[in-house]
Amino acid sequence: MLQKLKQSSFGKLLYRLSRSSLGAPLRHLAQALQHEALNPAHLSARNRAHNKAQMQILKAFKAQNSALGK
Amino acid sequence: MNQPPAAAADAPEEIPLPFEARPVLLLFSDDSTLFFALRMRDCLRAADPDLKIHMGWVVEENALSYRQMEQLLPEGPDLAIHGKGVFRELLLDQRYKAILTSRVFGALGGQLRRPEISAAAGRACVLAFLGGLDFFPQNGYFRRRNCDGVYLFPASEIPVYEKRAANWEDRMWQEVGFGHPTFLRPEIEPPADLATRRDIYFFTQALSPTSKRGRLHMLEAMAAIARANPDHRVWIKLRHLPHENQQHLHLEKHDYPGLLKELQDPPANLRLTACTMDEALENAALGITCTSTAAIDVLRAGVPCMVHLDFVDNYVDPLVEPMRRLFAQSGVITSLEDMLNLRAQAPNPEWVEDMFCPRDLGTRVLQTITRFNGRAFQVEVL
Repeated sequence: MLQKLKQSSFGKLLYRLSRSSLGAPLRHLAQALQHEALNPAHLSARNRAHNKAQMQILKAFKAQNSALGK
Repeated sequence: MNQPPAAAADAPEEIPLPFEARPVLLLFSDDSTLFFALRMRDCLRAADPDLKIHMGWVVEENALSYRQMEQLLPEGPDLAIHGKGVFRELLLDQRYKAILTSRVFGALGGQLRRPEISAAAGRACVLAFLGGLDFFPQNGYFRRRNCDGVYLFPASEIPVYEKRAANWEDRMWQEVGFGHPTFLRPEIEPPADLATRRDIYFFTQALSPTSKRGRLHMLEAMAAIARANPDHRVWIKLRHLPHENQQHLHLEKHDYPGLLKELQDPPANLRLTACTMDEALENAALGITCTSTAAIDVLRAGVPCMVHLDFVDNYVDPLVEPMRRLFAQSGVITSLEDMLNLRAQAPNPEWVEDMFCPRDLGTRVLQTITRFNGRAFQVEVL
């Protein structure tokens, strides 16, 4: 979708505006929209379960070693 | 260091050396291509200690810092390759018998596409290797279609390449071989001092994990391993320093030195290093990586290896699934629990045989070059 937008005349207009002297707010907005935390894949139940499981394993390992005084 | 090549201005007056007596030119422009060139040089020297080998620095594509150049090639390159038409000159002026590269530079590929250059008598043979672990090799195969020799891996990819090549109309004389200097069959015996080694290396990569959260998770896992093993040192082996390699194909978004500052109370035995891969492998007890070619270096050195792909946010990382497919039969893909408890598995010998080539690579490459020179249909180019 982004690729299509980039190739359209509207996309090119947005790019030209963002590069102009008054384009800073547009650049900041684009940056915010492309932030890695906004990836919809983070919302999937399967992916959230994966992350949770990995964090739990690490947490349990840390706790186990902490109990051993390490 | 080899004798520097004769100045271009003197070349027309010189009588060219006989084909077999000419040096071989190895091309590089960034750290990956320089690693290839250095290892290829070792393979060629092992096959023929008298062979003259020149290191050719493709300046226009340079992504090496001075520090990296000084660290990896302190004697410096033999030749700086720059300017329009330079590859035509290198191919036709009978100064070299072969040009070996792990990257088909655009200007070189452009020359090879010309039928008169391809059929030119007495020209240098161009042998292309893969850039390294390639998760999407189809484009790379196509870019190498006009090279005189193509060396691939795993061995099972050779019929795949040949099948694709059957549809290329502009294919000329070409030999397809198995191998890459980084993918030489591992030493059968592990290093003698392995049991007494105390250094664990995490070989970082520019692209994987992709997210900051994923990278911090890996860093926290390394810190946990360091705390659990106070008699070991856990090294975060950096591919390059944060300010370096800004022109590299793979640009790092979240560097580990910066992330380490965000870690609460990191243990003293968790450290950063920018040493070379060979230095790291000299004293590594274990090598851990995510999607990096480093796994291959670790396995080749006979050091226990873990490929960890279950890091946080792995689903946004486009390299995870291809790496999982390529290493599926390797036996070294390691879960977080096994990684934290340092439970490494030996690699599967059948997978090793398919992935790693026999150690006579240098000899086989020189044989390809000789056969190239004897090929049918060679013409004088004016």
